[in-house]
Amino acid sequence: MAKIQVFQVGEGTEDAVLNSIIQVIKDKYGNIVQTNHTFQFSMNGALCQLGIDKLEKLLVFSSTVKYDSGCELRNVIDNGLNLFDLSSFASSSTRPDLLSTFVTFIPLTKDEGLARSLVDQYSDSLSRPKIGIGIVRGCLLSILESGIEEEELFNRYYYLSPYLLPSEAAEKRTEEILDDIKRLAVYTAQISRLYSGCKNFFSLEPGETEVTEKTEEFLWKLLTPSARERVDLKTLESWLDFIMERDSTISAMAETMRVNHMEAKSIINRIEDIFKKLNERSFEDYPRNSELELRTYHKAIEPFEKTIVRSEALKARLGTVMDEVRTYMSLQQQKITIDEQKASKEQLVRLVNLQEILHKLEILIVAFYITEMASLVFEALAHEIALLLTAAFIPFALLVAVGISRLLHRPQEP
Amino acid sequence: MSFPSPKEFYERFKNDPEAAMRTAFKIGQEAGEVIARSLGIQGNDLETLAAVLNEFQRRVQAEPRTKVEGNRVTMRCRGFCPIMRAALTLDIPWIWLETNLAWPLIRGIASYVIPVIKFQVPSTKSRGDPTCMYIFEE
Repeated sequence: MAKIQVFQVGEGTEDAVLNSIIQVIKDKYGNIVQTNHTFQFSMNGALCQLGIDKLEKLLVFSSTVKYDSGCELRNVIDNGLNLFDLSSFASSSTRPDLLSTFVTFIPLTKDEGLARSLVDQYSDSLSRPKIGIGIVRGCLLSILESGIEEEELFNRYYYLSPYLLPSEAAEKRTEEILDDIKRLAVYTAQISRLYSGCKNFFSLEPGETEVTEKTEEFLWKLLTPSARERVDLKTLESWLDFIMERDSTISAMAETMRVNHMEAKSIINRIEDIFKKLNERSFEDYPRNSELELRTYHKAIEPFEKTIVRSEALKARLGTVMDEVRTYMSLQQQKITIDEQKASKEQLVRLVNLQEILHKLEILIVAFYITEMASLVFEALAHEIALLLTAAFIPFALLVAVGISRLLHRPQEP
Repeated sequence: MSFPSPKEFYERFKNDPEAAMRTAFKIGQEAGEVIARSLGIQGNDLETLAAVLNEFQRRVQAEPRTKVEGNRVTMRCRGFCPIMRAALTLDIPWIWLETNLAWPLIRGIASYVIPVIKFQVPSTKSRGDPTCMYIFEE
């Protein structure tokens, strides 16, 4: 039985976490033979070997347990599932996050019928239907279905039986295939890491509902004449603030999803390459594992695609409403400008009229003073006809007053 | 009333969550005072608290969904929020921003109205819940 567990550790904490885990393993299994990062110890009478590799922010535990031929299937399965269950023996402060677990059961048998029936026995004992059966480099390979629960999404159960190969070749081939399975586990863990980082953003419904309700309310108010009258510029500005805030959040979400989706797709391409390299052949009329397994990986990244599509739909809706609000806002501003222009034009007309009246009054006053002065002169020179002369002088005084007024209000030379 | 930029806040306090919470709480208290003054309301009862928190939600472009329910005040946020956006765009852990910036800030606002009040967050979007819910109990 081989088990590969891939953990995520925080930046710069790899060594501390590793040392803590090594100490826990030593405490738990006691008599351990350690060579660098490889450990050998006995577990319930079976020989266990554990290797720990450090990859970029990942710790990869690869363990193999060799059982005697008489060991019961149930024991093999239980030991396989519980082996290095860190949740039970590492302290929470140093416990790394488990990203993926790949358990491979490798019964050594030379009988095709037994190898075939063991697939069903493992499948029944684990309560996991097989997705297919195929032949890979002389070994019978069957992958059992992962659970639909989120925590099972990136765990796999493989069955590998080198029944077609002689004993000496069987071990070498099995190791080769296990190396490929280990790479699959690491790539699966990388997808799991992307998924974990984004899963809280996948549930868009509450945000979608809020945006839909709000934008619907904005549109209703804009398109209903009675409601539209109550929408002022301040309200429109507050709507725009809301739309811009939500638009920027949704854009950020769509971008993050797009980047992670691209990354996940490129990892799936690498997984596809491994399956191509394994070159699985059909066994009897069973479907091949590789095709269905690749479909499972594509399904796992569907939430990214759905979130991108839904974010874009929301963004488009916000864009439409933003355009409507802006258009109405600009119409409102134009209306205000036209009203202001009209008001200032009317004021200007009133001012001009007032100025004309003042000019006329000014002429009358000047004419009155000129006439008064002329009357004094006429009184002195021709007392008897002074009144007649003054009356005759009035048109002349008006002409002089007009002349003076024009002289005074002559436009200034620039 | 101004809130700290999540990026600057995170860079300043990422290794000192205690100081982050203290600072956010103080900013919250100041914001609470500004909001209460702008609303022209006084008092240290649950209705005043709900009014101040609703105005806070309005100012951060959230839906005002704070109400008094019996002997407690509940505040719900179902939509997208600035904290979520910051976590997405700046690649800051969402839960860090919630626990060290948003929650102490909200608690600070509440403590301006009712200085001693119990604060709980039974659900939060950063942990995968559909909405964020805050409960204030005397």
